[in-house]
Amino acid sequence: MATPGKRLKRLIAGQMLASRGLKTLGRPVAWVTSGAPVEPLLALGVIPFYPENHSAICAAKGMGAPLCQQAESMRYSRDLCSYFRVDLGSQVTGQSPFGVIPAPDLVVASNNICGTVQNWFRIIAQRHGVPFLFVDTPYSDNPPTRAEVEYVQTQLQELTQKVAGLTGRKFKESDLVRVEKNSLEALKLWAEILHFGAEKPAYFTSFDAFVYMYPIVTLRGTRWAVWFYKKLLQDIKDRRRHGQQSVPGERARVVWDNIAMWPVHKGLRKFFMQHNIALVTDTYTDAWRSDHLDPAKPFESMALSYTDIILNHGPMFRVNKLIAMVRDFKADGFILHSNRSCKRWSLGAYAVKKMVTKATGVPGLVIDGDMADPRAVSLDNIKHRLEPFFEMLTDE
Amino acid sequence: MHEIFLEIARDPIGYLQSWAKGSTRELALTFSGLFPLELLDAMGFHGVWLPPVLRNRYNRADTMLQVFMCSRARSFVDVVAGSELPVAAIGAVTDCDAKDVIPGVLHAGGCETPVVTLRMPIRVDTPAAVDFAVNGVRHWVAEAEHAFNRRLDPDLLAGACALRLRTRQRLSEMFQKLGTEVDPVFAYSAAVSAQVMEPEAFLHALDAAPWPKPDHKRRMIPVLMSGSELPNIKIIEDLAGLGALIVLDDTETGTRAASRPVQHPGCQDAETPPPPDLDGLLEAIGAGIVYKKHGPTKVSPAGNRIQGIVSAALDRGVQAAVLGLFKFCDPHAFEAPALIEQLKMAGIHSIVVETDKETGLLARERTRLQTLLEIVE
Repeated sequence: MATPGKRLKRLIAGQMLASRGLKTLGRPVAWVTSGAPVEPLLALGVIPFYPENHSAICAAKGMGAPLCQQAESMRYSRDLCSYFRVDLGSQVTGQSPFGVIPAPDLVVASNNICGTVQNWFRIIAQRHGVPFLFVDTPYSDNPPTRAEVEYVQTQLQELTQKVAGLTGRKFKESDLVRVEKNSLEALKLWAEILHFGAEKPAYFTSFDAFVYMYPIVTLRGTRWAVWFYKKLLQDIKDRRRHGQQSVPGERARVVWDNIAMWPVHKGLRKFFMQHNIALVTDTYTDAWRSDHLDPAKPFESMALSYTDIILNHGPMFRVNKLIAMVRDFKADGFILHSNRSCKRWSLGAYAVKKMVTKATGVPGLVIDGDMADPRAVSLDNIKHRLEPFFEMLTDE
Repeated sequence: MHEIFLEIARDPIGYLQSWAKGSTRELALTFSGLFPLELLDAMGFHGVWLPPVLRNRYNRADTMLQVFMCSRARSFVDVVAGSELPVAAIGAVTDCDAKDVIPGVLHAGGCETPVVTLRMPIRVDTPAAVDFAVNGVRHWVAEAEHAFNRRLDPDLLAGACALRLRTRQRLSEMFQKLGTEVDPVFAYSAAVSAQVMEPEAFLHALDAAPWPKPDHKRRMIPVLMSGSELPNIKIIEDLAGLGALIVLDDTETGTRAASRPVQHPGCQDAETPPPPDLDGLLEAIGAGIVYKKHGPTKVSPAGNRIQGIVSAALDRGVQAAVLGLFKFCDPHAFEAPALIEQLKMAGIHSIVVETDKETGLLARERTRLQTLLEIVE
């Protein structure tokens, strides 16, 4: 029987093969941000490609430094997002673990994850000479207002019309409803899977989630994602039935804030295992747990769903999220990744840490790193920071 | 009379501290040229767009923020968290990632000054964005009245709109004559002063004497100054010292903030404003934020911004461009390579001056700039 890891590899290979094949047959390809409203695109038969996700995989495969350097040689500052630099480096050099990537016919971006993407994806559109379509999702410290949801909804309807016009494909609301049902089913399965981290001992950790999040990001809205998560859910249930906990001899439980450190992902996972520490949940993979989608109100619910996400809210939202996670997942501590490449997520980490500790009584630790540029991450330094923290957590 | 502008530009905090001692009005701050100061004025505050106050250390901000936040934002947090000014209220505005998180960081860091955020669109190319901006202003007023425990006075708003608009119009006139009829050090000093002075006092000082002219006796190279906000006046003084004559501005401190219109009859005459029309004024303020000249934080019709800068540079006979960037300012850092490339294609060489600490031009940048000016010459 295939392991989830092998299934995922086959899924990715199949997705890329299908994308290239369909592109050859004339199907349009859209390069999109990870938080872009992909459902209208899928309803129109447009194939999405996710540069952020691609950058994460490049970084995990050890390709981060040379690709970043390529972008820097083009005058892009080393202080800019490393996902952007990896992506640009990959576009220029053609280097990718995926092989040939289908070129975009259009670019769709939304600022619900950060302000960086509107600059980054505009650069992609200019490089490829294709239209740049943008959905403005207002940032707010509070839940979205009625006016904000309406503003986004109007843009989603315009986006759908524009994409239909640009690609010559006909839009049918029934197709959008079908795609949203797929998205919703995958999101619910994903939420169910993530909740296994709340069990004590944990049967699913964030190190697993960082890997298996691929389909919820890039195949959301398709039956492939639903298929994958149904299988994964069954695997986890089987593991629990057989008592195969994620971290044998679990001694402490920790929550993670921010994007994974892809360049040192494996080393960090090993280090946590060696110390019998379970990373039980995280704010990163949790971002795809939204339950706002409602196929009965396809555009309105999509507008709310794509506006009301963690990265589109201020640090206080993160504070409340982390407090809830620490409590719900029975965590002994939490780690804030101060990620040089993700300012929106990282800024204010020290203040966030103080507030979460004050509310929960649980200690937190801020560690410096980067999501894709290995030159800004030192596994040794991180270990030096984590060791005493783990000792404190496991000190009985 | 004009000396006061240079004094303020060199030490805006010192000026505001003195002002606060002698005034019964309370101080309300913002950190962005997008924010309509007239809203704060109309609530009885003295609205101030605090200029960057660059330092060699940001001791208070560093307890709340990482060093990879731009120094413009860190300096604001440092001033507020350090209680260097008696700030009664803060009007925030959504724009770039750094500015977006400031209110939350201040709140999470224990700042007790009430902060209310004006939520603005990132798109500035659609009618829906205008509607959203108008709604954002109305929403801000409602939230601010509650948080600041003050009413926005429609009579005060009409007068404040007119005075602030007059100020921006005068600055626009001045920047039109930059380097030809107006000395750049004076122009930028005045622009910074307009951010912190009460508008009546500013306009009075501005017109108290003829505007100083540039030194045309010296052979100087006409340059473009582009970037977000001016890090400090020392850079402009240094550029002048090196023989660079700024003849075109593309900064928020200069032409961009000054370009914000408020198209309403109530704003056209500062002396005799017509009867108040609160709703109409708020609508005009909201729409004006969308219609103003923007930097790279906004999604505007494709290509217009860079093409506009290059075209204006050619019209003004610009021979070199200075791109003044705050370190860690993402929007401008993203734009810089394309802007440099387009300027180069137009025959204009550029230099990036990155600022983080309290300095004018560093020795290294001074040397690079000298080299560039010599090449151009």
